[in-house]
Amino acid sequence: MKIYLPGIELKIKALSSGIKLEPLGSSRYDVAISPVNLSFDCVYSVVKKTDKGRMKTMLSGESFDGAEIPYRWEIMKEGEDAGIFIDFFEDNQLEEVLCRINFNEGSIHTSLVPKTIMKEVVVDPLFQPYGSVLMVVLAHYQNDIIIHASGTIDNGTGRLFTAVSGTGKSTMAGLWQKSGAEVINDDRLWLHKVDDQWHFFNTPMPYYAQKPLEAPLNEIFLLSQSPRNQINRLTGVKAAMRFMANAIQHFYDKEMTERHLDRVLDIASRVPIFDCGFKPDLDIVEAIRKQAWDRESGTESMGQRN
Amino acid sequence: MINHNALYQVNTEKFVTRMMGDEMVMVPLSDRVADMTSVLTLNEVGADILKAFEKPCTIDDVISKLLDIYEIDEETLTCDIQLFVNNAIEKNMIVKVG
Repeated sequence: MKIYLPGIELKIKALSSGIKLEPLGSSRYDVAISPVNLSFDCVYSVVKKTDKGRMKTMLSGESFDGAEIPYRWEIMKEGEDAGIFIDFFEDNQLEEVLCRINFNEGSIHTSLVPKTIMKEVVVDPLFQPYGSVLMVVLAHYQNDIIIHASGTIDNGTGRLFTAVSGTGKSTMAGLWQKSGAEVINDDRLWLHKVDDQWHFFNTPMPYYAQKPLEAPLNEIFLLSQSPRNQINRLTGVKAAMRFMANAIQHFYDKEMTERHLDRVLDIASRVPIFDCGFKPDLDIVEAIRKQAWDRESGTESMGQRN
Repeated sequence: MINHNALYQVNTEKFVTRMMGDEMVMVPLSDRVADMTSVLTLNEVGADILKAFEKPCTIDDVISKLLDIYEIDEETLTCDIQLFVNNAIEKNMIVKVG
């Protein structure tokens, strides 16, 4: 079985009995929609207990309050290798998961500790939250960005809408869908460079299967709720930092932060970024299309109000 | 308090700095972890002052460097630099190195 992420091939294999890898969210990611730069042999095995060995915990966190499956996660490091540890507080199947990523060998070994009553563990190879943490680690390694955002493609123009949770990413995506655009994803996007152009991709989601989609990153909108539609171009470091605020940033050393900052500044220097206050109706879609047309035809300067 | 005989330098251990155009962005590091909630941005003038501290130098060295760049009288520049440097020391952006 193979799963393709932007620029990355995962060759998936169960190494022991007692585990069945059954793709759900990742089921349609068996075709590459971007050139493969990195390939990993991913083996899964069931163990009685995990052993972190000399891996050192660099970052850790917990699921948000009220999460259906509460857990604690760690990102670890030993030399060039990275590690992921998940401690499930109340999962139906799993107690713990430990993963070691050997970037030099191109291997990912994932050990699952099932609940003692389990005869067979059935999981998506990118099960939640392991898959999400793994994607963050791989994206950073490949010099990419994962961001909380929705994204659409409309007549070849790719637009990314980013905001804190509950501000309108999904609402905005829905409005574009009603207007005939295709929604790449309404929650999380992976930003990856292909032929010196940034693109955004959807990723395998935990609880539903979507086909892999991508679009060129042509415009970025920083969303806020507003009684009227307002679109204002932002420039410079301010634009870059506001865009960066919604990127997933699990960095634990100076070099990681430097590389991330370079990526963000590269995007901000290439892609127009807009402050976008909007009310949830179709007028905003037309206003955004109009600003793009005005900008391309040179009839608009820095901002536009509707 | 600024010591005019002391050497100061950008705190590269505690900050990641990058230029975008004429502006500078500084991301603080807390125990190796990037603190993205406390990112500092500097305009062109602030960036020029910070860049003057890339290598260890005294406040007077920096004033001298900036007098070469900006058309400004020395008294005004000295006041501005002292104000900026006090703030920068307080925020740990520059540190005394000798």
